[in-house]
Amino acid sequence: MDNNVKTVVKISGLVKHYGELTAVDHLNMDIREGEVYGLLGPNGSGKTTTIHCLLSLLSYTEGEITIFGKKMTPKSYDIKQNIGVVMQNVAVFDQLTVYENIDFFCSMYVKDRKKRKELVREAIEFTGLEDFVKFYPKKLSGGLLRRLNIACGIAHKPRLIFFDEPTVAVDPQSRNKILEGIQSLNKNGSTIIYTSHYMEEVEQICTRIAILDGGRKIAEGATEELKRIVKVTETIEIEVPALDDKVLSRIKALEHVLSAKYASHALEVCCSGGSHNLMSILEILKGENVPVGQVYSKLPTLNDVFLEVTGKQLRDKE
Amino acid sequence: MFVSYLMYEIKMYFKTKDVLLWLLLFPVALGTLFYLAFANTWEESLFTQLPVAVVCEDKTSYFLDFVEELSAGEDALISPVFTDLETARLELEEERVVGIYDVSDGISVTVKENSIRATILKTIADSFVHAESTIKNIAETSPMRLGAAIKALAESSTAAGEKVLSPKESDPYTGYFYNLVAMVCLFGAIAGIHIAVQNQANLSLPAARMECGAMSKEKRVIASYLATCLCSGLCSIISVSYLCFLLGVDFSLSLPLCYLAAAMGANTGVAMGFFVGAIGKFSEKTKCGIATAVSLICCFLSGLMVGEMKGWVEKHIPIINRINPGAIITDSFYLPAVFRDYFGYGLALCKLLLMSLLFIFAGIILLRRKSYEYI
Repeated sequence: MDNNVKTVVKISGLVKHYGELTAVDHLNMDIREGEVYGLLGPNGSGKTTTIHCLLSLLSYTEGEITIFGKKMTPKSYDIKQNIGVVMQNVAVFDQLTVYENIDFFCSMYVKDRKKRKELVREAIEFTGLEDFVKFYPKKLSGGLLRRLNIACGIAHKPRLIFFDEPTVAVDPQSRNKILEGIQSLNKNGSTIIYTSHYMEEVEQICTRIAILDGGRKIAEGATEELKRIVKVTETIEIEVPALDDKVLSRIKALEHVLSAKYASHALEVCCSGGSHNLMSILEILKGENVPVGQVYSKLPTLNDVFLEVTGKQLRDKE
Repeated sequence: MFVSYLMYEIKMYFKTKDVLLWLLLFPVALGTLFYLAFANTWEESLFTQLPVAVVCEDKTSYFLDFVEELSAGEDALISPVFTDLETARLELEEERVVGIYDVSDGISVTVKENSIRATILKTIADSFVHAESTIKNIAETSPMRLGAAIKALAESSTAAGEKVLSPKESDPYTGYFYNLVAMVCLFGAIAGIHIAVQNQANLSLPAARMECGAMSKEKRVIASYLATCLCSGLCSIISVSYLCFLLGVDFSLSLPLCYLAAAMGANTGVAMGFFVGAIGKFSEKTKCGIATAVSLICCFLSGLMVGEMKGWVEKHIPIINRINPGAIITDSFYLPAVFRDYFGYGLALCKLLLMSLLFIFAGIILLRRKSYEYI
């Protein structure tokens, strides 16, 4: 870790109980300036509770939270001045237009009307809502509403932005737009805390990831670091019309091969490490005159990491 | 920050359909309905001399003296026309008279339709028959006491004379309109609830966002309260103006004082709503239902639905009238209008102010929590 990089958010021993249920269990985290920090975990893993505790919306049982080096409390308005929040659910007023909503929330941070006008214009441009400024939220599609939700959270140009599952129920086009926007905000200097249960999103935009399960942090690191946790570094699938046990045994005996199985005209080989596994397998098949169809090579995903650490899938199949 | 927030609150207030419905359209509609319903009744009850045809061939009948007595002077009850039966019937048919006294065989009263004025004519005839029969009885059984009996009857007649309690004659239905204004004021509670809900992160999504913002809850509550009071006060003033200028309801109070009473009433309504909104974790709709029910009960007890209710409450549970904001708002119009009691007016406004402060204080105490256990 670079010692010159400032810690923006520090969570020490955070515990949050909902009655008998422990939603966050002794959580420790350091989020550095300029990071896109992903909180990844299945539903109910404690991501949103952690965010709400960080924002002092929720009281917590134990622990301490500091943001920008100061203890975060409900009355830390100097800290809040530099924080932007994009809630999981769209939090806007139905009685106000797109422009008015953005201006309203921006006015809670920026006094100067002229400056605010400029910031609102930039937020509208950033989220691509130029054609909808006079629309009321009820007239907007789900994707546009999400974009409005983002615009309301980032218009005042905060140094730290919380995105709590901003892409839930959003079409792929809007999702890409949102993710690009988040990366762009990060490039402009904002530190981002991003929660999601979509691992591909987290992989795409986060520089560092914490995987939560049952309120505990089960793994943390950059994507590649996390993938190293997984024993299976490569899964090779080869379409093979027929394969006898002798050939299968030869493949299993290869260095770096963890397991190999043949079923439904497909050979699946799990490998750990090594750089020429595919070539070695193909050579054996060629030597035995086994015809080969399509070949796939899969690298480990965050889901594999989660599976490795917890023994369960990161999210339900959709 | 504060001014901008205040302006947006005002804007949102006038874009909230529920609020506009209950605070502007409903009172205007109900006021118009009252006006139409009471117009005929009030006109009928306005006392004027009742034109009546008297058919009497026997010029020595005591009833003729009685009729002459009732039609004499400025306070005359009736305006008799002595005629024959045929002409009398024609006069009644063409509604030039309210009824016919036919003294040909006893005293009979003929009216075209039942009304308050027809009832008065019947009562007059009944009272004559009753008095005549009493005197005849006494004359037959105790002639020595006849003089005393006639004197007693004359005194009872005097005792039943009008005694003016108020310096100004009041339309008995105006009270309903005062109650209507009280209802508009108390419906401000619906808007008051919005202040509390909008500042509780566990009840509203925008509230959660604002709670993360750089503006303190205190500032937000004050700005929302000011905006809501301003708007609800304006709605009450519009309602008073509508009743006063378009429906011609006589408030008998200088307009600025009327408006002040309406604005103070609205402030109390908003404060009451704020307090209700700050209690518990029910949804905004549930809280609005509670506030509407409380407002309607207050208005019912102050006589919005049954005119005599306030009097009944005063007789049986007077404390209710002292603490019912509906009754106090009604008093602030009624006391100066009917009794010229400006001290009572001032006292009513002070009570409303005190009530508002209590509600606001209690509401702030309830909202003061710093963070939430659940969201």
